[in-house]
Amino acid sequence: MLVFYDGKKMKWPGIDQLSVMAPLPEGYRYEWLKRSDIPALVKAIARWHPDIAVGGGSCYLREDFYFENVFLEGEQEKNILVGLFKRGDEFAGMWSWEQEPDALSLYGRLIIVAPEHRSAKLASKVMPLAELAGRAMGAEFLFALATLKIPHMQHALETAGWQLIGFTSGYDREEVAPGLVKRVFEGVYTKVLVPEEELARPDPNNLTPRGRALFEVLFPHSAAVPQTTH
Amino acid sequence: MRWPTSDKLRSLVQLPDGYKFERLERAHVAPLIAAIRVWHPDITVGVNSGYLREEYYLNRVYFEGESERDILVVPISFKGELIGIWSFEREIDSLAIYGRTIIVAPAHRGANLALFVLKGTENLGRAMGAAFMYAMATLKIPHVQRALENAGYRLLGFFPGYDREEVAPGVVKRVYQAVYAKLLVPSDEVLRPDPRNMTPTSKALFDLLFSD
Repeated sequence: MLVFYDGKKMKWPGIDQLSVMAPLPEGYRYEWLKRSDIPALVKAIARWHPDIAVGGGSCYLREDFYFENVFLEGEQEKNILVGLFKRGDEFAGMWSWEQEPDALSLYGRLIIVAPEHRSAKLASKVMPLAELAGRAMGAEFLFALATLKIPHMQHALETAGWQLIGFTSGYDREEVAPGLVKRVFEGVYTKVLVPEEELARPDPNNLTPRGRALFEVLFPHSAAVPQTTH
Repeated sequence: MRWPTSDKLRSLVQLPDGYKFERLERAHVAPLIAAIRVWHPDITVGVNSGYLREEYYLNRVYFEGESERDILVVPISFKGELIGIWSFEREIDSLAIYGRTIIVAPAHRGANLALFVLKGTENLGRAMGAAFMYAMATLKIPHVQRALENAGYRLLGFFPGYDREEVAPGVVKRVYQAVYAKLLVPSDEVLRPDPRNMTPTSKALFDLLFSD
């Protein structure tokens, strides 16, 4: 098994391992982002997904975001990673993950595929890849936000075994029509990578009535037996 | 979204008599870490364990008068003695504020500082131009959940194992946490999703949570 975790630090996998974990359709390959790719990637993202100009993903349109926050191939490890789908010399798409070493978690921040490459179903490779790479890195918990503008990402996450655990009610902003920016709902999906017994189940007595009602809907078999005082 | 000065923060957030927000200085970091270790020993594992590492403050936390950073740590004193910290994070691109933690010395937990601070976060958020505030609540005790619900935060869901806690001496497990949020903009500024764009699972949970 590939291991990118030394018990203290989560390390991003090598690019060669990705093709082993989740092979791409013929003609496509993975690359980690290089410093020299940044200007072209920013231009490509603006063309592929113009709605990203406002909101949480807008940082991917700023070169300084990559220089300051993103792990670039051959450089110092940082907590945000950008992977590229390439076909020949052409960018076919990108995705981004963020690791939180103190929580041993991996956050799927973004996936964008160029419109002309969407039929290759590249995005569907990233969910299993997150799980395989996450496990190899020592991650125990994966999470991602899915747009509710289209159902594709929700379907892909559900098919990959991720659980919908709630919604953000206006966390992010989107340009919902030309020149009209609104806050939007997003689905919150998670996947737990540890065995059930490594997850401490809450005592229902420690939840508010509202919390207990929702918890029972989301995790019907997970509430601990109420603790009694003797 | 710029952080307020400590003077401005004191005017935005009222604390009970005798309690005061202090300005975080570099010289505070080592004694603060030592104090947090005593106040909240469970914090040694998990997402907030960074508050026990000096380099976390030096690399990620804003010090007034220096270059802006996204995490703010505000020491709280009582009659000159350090008794707690309040910390939150700004997310500029989303215009969001994330209430990361409040840690209070056991002797001062009866002062209900969390309630004052929750109310104050809203004033702070509005002053900074935030539109959305959120926080995670422990399910080990009901107090934080109750405080958030009383402050008008809405329960959005649960993270099954996002964080780790020492649930008994030497036993570390992943834990469930509740996610609460409060909108600071009128509801007509939020676009409700078209049910046709949701999966059946997604639509069912959405209807349960947001049928009002």
